[in-house]
Amino acid sequence: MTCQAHCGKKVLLFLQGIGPGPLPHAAAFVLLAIIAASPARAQITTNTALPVSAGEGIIRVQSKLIRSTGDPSEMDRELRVLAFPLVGVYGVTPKLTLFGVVPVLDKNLEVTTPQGRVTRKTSGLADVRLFARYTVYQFNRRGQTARLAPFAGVELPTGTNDATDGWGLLPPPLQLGSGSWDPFAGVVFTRQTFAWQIDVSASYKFSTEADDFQFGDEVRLDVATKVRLLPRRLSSGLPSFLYGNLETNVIWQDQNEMGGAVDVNSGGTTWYIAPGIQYATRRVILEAAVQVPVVQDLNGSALENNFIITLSSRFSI
Amino acid sequence: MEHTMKRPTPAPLTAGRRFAACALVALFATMALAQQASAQDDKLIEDPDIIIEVDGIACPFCAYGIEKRLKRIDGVAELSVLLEEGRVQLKMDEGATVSEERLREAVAEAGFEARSIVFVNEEVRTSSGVGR
Repeated sequence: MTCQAHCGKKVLLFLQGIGPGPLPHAAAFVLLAIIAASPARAQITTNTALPVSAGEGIIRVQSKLIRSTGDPSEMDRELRVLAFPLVGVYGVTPKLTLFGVVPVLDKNLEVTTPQGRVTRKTSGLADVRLFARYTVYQFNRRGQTARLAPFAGVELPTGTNDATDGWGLLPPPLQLGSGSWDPFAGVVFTRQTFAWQIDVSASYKFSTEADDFQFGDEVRLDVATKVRLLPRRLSSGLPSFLYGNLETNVIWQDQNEMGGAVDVNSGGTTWYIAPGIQYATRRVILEAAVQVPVVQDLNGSALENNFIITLSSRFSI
Repeated sequence: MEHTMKRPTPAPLTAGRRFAACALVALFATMALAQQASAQDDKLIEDPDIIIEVDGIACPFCAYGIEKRLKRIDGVAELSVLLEEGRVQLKMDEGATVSEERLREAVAEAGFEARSIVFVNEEVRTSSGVGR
């Protein structure tokens, strides 16, 4: 006998209520924003303006673990998301680069109901991101470069937004996709030397409506720095580098709208600090970072993120 | 009375542990690849035919872009990048030639700038394009 058969209408409504409620919307926003910031030619959580050779490609394989707990309400909600964004990059010309981000997600939400603990989950392909970046300024000297590159693209509705479980239709934030075509644009500046690198990226995403639901627009500012830890002195040839990274991400989301009404328990501002480490050889980069929220000023009673662990590798092909 | 010893049921792997296990396997596999790649990085050319001074390269991963573009030029036999010096050394195949223009183009295709190109061996220089 299924749990649904046991539980009454009250529980069903309760579970459906967690859909438009505070947790998933805020968490889904942050999640999408985090996955979105994963281009292959980048620091760990931030885009970069460094070049990709014409006719050449880079593949980035990432794995992210996102956990949100500590719900003060009686629902004691816990969200766990595993994300595996696969990123492909192709240099059309030395200045024009195309990016594709194909995320696979596994979302798991646990919530306490009057009838006990209930889990709602979904997994599969999420919304794919395609975008292009064009270098408009570059300054090169021996052992250093500075570049400025605007970028723009669209998030495609490739993830399903009508998945169901035993309780019925999953709420929009637990769906794998938004169902909408969401354009975005931004600009990234990079300054790199042998000893250090800084990337500053600002972007805006315009969310559109799908199936009577619209996520709020999103603004994000990312600043990533790294310093070379090893080798302390450069040796002859092409040595591998070990970097220590410190990155920060500020993400602001507008409130969602459902059926034309604003969801007061959605949107807000989150500021992450992400220490990390990066090992770069000429063909491969290995990296890891932990994003820790410093400020989470979320609207309503939204559940806050505990941490995000990112492990990733990049291959020049 | 019969006593049966039951083995304790192992706790199922949590998502976090599965994540950690997969990540560790991926990490070791990639480290092995990286190690192999770095082992190939140490080859330096003792008597290069051409030396290119390149502006803008500041990390090993970026340098590989230049290496790939230059290796696409017909006649390039060996290549080494000296990162700190911002220098690329080329050794050409026997009888192969290349123009300065083609070399500059290859560096530009990688997104960098060739500050100077020196033909140590003038016999590999051709006026335009690539000739053999």
